[in-house]
Amino acid sequence: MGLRKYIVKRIGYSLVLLVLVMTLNYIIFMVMPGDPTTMFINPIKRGNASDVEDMTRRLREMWGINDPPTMRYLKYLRNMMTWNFGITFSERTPVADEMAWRLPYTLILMGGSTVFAVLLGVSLGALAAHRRGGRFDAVAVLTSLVLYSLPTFWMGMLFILVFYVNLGWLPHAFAYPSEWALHWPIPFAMSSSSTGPMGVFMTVNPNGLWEYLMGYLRHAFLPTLTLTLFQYGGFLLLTRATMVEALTEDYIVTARAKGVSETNVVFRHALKNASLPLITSVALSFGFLLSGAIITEGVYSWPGLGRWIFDAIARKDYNILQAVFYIIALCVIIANFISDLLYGVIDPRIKY
Amino acid sequence: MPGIIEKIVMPLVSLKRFLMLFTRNARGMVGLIIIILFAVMALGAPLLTPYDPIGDKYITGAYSAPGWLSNVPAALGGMPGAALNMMVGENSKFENGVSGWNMTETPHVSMSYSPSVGDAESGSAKITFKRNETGKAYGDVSVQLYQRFTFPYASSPRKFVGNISLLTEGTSLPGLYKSWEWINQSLGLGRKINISRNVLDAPVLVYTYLQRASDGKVYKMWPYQGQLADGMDLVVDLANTVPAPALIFAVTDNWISSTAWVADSDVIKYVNVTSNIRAIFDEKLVPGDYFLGVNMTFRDTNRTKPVETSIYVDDFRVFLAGRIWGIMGSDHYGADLWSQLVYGARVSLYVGLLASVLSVVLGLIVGLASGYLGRYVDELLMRFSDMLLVIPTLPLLIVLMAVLGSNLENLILLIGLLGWMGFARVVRSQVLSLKERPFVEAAKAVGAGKIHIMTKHILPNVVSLVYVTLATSVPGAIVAEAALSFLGFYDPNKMSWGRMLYEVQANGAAQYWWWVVPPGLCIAILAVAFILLGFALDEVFNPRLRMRR
Repeated sequence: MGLRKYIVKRIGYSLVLLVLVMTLNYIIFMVMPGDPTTMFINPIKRGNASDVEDMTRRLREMWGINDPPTMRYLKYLRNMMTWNFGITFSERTPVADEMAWRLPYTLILMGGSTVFAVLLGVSLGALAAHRRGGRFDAVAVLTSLVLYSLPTFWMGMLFILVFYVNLGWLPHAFAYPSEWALHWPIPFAMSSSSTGPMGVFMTVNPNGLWEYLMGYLRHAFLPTLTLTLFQYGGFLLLTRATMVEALTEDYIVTARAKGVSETNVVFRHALKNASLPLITSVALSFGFLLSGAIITEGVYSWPGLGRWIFDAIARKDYNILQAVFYIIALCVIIANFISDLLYGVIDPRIKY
Repeated sequence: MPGIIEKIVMPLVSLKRFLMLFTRNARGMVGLIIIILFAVMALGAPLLTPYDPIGDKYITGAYSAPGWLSNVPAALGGMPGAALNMMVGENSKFENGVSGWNMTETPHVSMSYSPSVGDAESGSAKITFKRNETGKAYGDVSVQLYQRFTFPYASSPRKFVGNISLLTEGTSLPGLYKSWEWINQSLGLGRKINISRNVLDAPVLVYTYLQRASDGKVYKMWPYQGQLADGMDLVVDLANTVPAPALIFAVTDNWISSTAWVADSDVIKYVNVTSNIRAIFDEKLVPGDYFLGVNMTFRDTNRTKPVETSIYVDDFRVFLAGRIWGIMGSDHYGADLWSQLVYGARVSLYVGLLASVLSVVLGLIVGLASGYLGRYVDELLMRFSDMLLVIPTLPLLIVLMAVLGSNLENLILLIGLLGWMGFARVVRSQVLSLKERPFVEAAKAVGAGKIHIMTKHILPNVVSLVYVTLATSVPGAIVAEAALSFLGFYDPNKMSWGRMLYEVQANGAAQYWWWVVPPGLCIAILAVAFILLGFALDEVFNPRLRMRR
């Protein structure tokens, strides 16, 4: 089977998976109780019951809830494919717009922490495998086990307790100082303050790039730390396990016999061969990470997708949930697809 | 009889061998001991704590620190000399006569014990004012019923909750009494009720007080107008800035039970708590003797006839909520945190074990079927598991919890149903290699059915995986339960560690370390214990791993 055929097969498989996910996504929100129209009609203000009924019917028609299920399903599929996620029930703004400004916050958090976690986990894991049985190995495994099993939210609360309550070094909520008038993605304003309509001193803006960056970094530090520690344990354990296996292989003995330096043996010979499961794990961690993000963003009031999902569940805002689930699943599927292809690039022995 | 030996003795031998190997594994034993400790904690919860973790609120003051902090020096963050909970008012229900209570010697006033009259329970002190002569009124006659107590602590209490129940009777005139109107307004009913009632000839003015024994200073506790708290008849504020008179008992009606509240300055700031009584504990607090008393003033003005007024006093006590409490302190309701932690172990173990059993059984079935049957079954099951793997688990759990409703059974079901995919893959890959082995070939040749081969030939070879995965998948379930509870999807009838942390977050109480640290620590310790157990089992079952060490 050639590479092209393999790619076509993987694409076909990914599409099937996508349709399955979309269907499940549809079914879940079909059976979710509660009528979103009730949030928009105030029965007391509307007066009589027929008015309320009329209004409900019109809203349901407008949102397409009255259509037969098959029709709704097809419409839903079309909307997902065309990135038309509808409006949020609560704000009446397009879901896509809302998502567009929230997504960067979550991506920064998730991307940053994943990079740190992979770097830390892989290098420490490789080191632990190299010194297997030693004290470093024992400490590394134990700490990562503990970190791996700690509840994220508790870690976040502890950090707040230590760094915000006790030491007062770092802020505990939001992505930027709350007094700033301008935020993401506008870099910074020319004047350091803006005045309100009555000439009242209203808000402060960062004075230049340094303050702007520091404002964000200080706020991002604790959430990123939490998510990094949350993931790092898993990567360390996985790297260690595959490295232990790889370091016992014959080609390592050969490399050492050739006089290859120990660093090269560990990082170029062993790690490269041990990295395949890691790639799958990183690809799969996207979905996993969002679970961590919901909680971490909740603890730190971070204005990203996680908090948004949680608020949307409380408000029964199906459109938001469907869209976010779809986007996340899409990301994971694409990441899996790429990781499958990367296998062949990294390990030339793999023939498709 | 080889059959019996094979059936009974062989398993025993292998069990003995297993135990020997397992007990040699130090990490596994540590894990097992921790799990057993938590199991004891969960099962023995009613013995470890007398309190109900959800129902028993207001046991002590809000945010009390752990009790053992009184033995820690202040430099290390301890609270030496911190006040403990204290109930003032010995024999407060007047069950044993009037013992413990004293009355000031006053002419025309006498105290007696009334065994049959009482608020809720029989027994009260009866204070009677009596004038037999006519033509001369005595004016205001004051008398005090009091008790001496010692306040031994170096720091002031956190909260002050007082109670007194009063009932009047005596010679009276039928008529309309204005004070009834006033009382109704003071109760916040917002309407004037002018009802004809029998009105006492000599109404009584009542206030309760605390008096410092050393200098005799009196701190009055005044009735507070217009605030009703749930479950209380009358809320009495202790601010002496309220210019209102003391409660006037002029009508002979029902028991009036009052509850007096004082909040500590650094917790709840009531509007009028610039109070006298707080001063006694906050500013001029010295450990020493105080009097708890009730002052009754009989207002004798009607000189045209002989007069007799009695007032019954019952349930007179003051609860001084301390600043430290129990093993772990208290939450924002003044509920015991230790009992919450103890009962939380039940939920974590219950959810963790059941959910992991469910997910392992499901994973085993799916893995066996998919690996051995292959073809369409394999394709279908694996695509389905891929689909579940691709959707982020926690948001899916949250949505499904919102659909099905938050209770423990749903929680277990959902965590179990969404946690089998990884194990199914592992089992499948094992089965794929096992089914090519000669013994399966041989079984097929003899004519064994698929079910038979799967259960009798393949299952025994993956069963060690089952034990290991059972142990290592418990932490995931425990943490998932905690995370869902933390997000507010807890079973309202059960206290869990996640819910404790939810309460911390919901009340912005992150600064109280004794509330934040223990639940998460327990989750982490229990989770690590199960992982250690799983690793140990893995080493016992896989000789290859054992050799390597």
